[in-house]
Amino acid sequence: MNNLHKNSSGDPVVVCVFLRGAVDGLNLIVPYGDPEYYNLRPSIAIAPPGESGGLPLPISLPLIGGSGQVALDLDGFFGLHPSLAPLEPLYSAGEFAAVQAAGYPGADRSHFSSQLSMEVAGNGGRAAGGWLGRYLSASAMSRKQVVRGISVGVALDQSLSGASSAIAVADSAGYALHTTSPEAWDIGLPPLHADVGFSFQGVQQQVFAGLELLAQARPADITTDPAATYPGNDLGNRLRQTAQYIKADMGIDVITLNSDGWDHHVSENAVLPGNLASLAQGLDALRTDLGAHWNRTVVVLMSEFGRTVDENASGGTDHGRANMMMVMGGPVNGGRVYGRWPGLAADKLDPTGDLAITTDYRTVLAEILSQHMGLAAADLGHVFPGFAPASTLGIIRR
Amino acid sequence: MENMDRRRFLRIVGGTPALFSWPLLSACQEGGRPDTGLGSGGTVVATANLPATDPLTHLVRRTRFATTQADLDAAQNLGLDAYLDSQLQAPSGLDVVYLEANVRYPATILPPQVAAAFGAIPEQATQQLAERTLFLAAYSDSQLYEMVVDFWTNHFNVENVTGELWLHKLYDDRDVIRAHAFGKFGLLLLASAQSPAMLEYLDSVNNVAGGPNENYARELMELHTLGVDGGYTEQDVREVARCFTGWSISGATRLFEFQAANHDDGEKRVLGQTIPAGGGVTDGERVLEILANHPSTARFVSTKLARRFVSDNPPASLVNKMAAEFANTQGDIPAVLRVMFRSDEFFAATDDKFRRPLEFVAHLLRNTRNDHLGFDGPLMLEALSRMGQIPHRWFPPDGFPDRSSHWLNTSVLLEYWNLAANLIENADVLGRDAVAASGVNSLDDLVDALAEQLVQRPLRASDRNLLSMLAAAALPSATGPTAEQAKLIAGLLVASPYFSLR
Repeated sequence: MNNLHKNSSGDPVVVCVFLRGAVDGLNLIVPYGDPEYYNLRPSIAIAPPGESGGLPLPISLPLIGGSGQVALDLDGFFGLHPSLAPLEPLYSAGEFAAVQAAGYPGADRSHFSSQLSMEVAGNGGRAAGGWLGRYLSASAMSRKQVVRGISVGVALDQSLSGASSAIAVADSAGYALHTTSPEAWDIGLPPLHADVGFSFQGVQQQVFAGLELLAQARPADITTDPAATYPGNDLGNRLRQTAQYIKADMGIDVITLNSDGWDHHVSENAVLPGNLASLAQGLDALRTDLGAHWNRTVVVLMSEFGRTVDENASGGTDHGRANMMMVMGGPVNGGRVYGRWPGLAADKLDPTGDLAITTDYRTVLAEILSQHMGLAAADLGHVFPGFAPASTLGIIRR
Repeated sequence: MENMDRRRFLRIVGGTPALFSWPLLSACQEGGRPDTGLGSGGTVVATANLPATDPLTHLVRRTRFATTQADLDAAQNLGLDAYLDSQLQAPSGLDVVYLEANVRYPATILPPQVAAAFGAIPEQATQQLAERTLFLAAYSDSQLYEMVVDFWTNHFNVENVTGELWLHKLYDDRDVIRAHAFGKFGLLLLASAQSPAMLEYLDSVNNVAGGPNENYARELMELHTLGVDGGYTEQDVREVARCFTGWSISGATRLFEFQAANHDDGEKRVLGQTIPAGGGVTDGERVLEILANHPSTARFVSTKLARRFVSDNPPASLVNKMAAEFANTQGDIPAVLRVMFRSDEFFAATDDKFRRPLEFVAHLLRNTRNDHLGFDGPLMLEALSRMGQIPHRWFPPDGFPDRSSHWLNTSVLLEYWNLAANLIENADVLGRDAVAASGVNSLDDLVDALAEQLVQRPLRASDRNLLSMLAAAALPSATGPTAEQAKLIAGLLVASPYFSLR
């Protein structure tokens, strides 16, 4: 293993996991203390903690928690979906925080335009690249690594676009150029891609930079902690690669990845538990696998909008507004659910009948960038144009 | 020692003391990706520095997944108008490539009830449909038809992995998309709304009176017709969902079935129009009629077609012309395509599109594996998987992205290079006999011959010199051009923007 990047050891890392499809945050960070929750979701609500586990109430369960699932208490008002149980120890250890009723006020109910506008974070207007891409540009003077950001996938996530130091790598083990004439290709490819428009030249140079970095740092050779059991799916694979990039200590400070399939218009009871169990298993494995690197890592999970407060006739939920976010890692001031709870009573909902947004999602991201990543306050306006946080959450430990 | 010498010599030839230069990288890239994909108006600079492409070559390249020099010669013999006319025809049922596809992929021609009886092999059906799609993209001579089928497949996107979608997608591809690809938009829209694949994918089967499921209603307006800014409200979404309650799938025929008992038969109001109570199945049909004839639909569909065939950010003047034709012809798809392909804006947009993986692989196959009897579907699908574009394997309903900002990235570009190297270095068409038979006497001639054969266009002088000198330096020959030199040159050509632009 080379020592080229040893001087970056201890540098903060942010991992952004986008849950595509608008995850049903009301069933992840369950507001069991709000009685309206059970009126609105007769067949899919998660029962309050204490309704089972030594005090079985077999008759009342179907009445108040139609899903047959029981929340794990977080703070006396909110509970955790039981399939997220692997994350409960992180919450108890103060390394996992949730934010309820967060969102982007400018989101519409389109998955696609809402995801895009949240990743671009241009306050409804056009901005060069995405919020993480602009973070990389804004901090380029203090962190000069050629490659700093990686989207673990077949495309560069919109959030990371706009920076020369961000690349997409679907499979770090297979990231190599296979030709019988490698020297000639090394020399021939750059001029062939030069000055032809689009971003051919830049992407070609980024591929070369990625090839060189991965050949040196060999993240795919980093051993996974035997105690870390990633789920055997795409998400598990992406999280394992994420851990390898961090453990390789190769100067990567931003990683994005995606988890698909959260658009549960039907049969949430049947589908959501398995998806959440896989997500929680993966995140728990990531923490285990990272070991001491967990102390320099913050993982933020977000989704494009929340779902309707009430269930539909197919045991699912449709497109809504505010959602939860999850933030975890050693530097997180966890063991709390942040954000002002607006309430589910009809007069507390926003005009469209949805959970109202009380925390702009950029408040959370800005705090991670400034308090954890060390972004200068003066650069926040560049990363999030048109946005000034109304308040401070304190979600990162000082 | 010999390797060291060669490497040093190569670097001198290449004129680059290091492989790349970081300050240059930063200078080129900072802020260099302005296209956020939000609507129109991105400022991606068109490719301007490659030698110009003549109008016919441009038209041929844009109307096809895959183009060889022979295809270009055939188009030249026809002339521009006759070529376009010929490509605006759907393939004959007797076309030998389609017959071969039927034999190769028998699951794709089974009626739904019969395919359902083979319920044990959904993965096989899914695999066959994906391989068939690539096979036809590479080898069909109805190339524009295949491109348009691909367009509607993504416009009315349905993945085929979940639930019974493997089964319904076979019908959807054959009897919805392919049947109507060159027809009227309104009929295609109705066929899609009643396609079991769409009924399952966007939860229409769960949309019932008393608790409507909004999934199809929203995507119908956002993605299939009006566009996200097309002028519908949340109330419209809810009302449209009510109109489609009871639209479901027959368990017996596996085809569309209206289940009146599940239909909300009250009055609805959609986009300002009243749909009277008691309409039954005609409620949904009326909605589709309103949407198909809405000016926002003409504009939205025209914009997407122009993005597919002209440029990532098509000019408004072109979209206006296409939308007018769409309205005048009640959504006649070939008529709108004809307006687009004959427009000045189209002919001004040379080299404005980056090939998506399916286009890249199909183009590469037709150019390097012209004998389609040896088509290796599984191997090519593996390559497409690494590039992120297995046909029908896009899970959200918006279809595969159509902007270079998504596809031209460090993951995909490396895969293009690797597949180029793999197929060219193992290609028979560029063997010793072919080089000898081509009659070339110098490396410059060889570069020219390969450029004509593989990219069908002249190269920049600097690229021509580079390829010739690299071949001489890397693979010295005292006896004239060799097959190995041809492979090196051809591989780099196919890995270059000359090949991945269309």
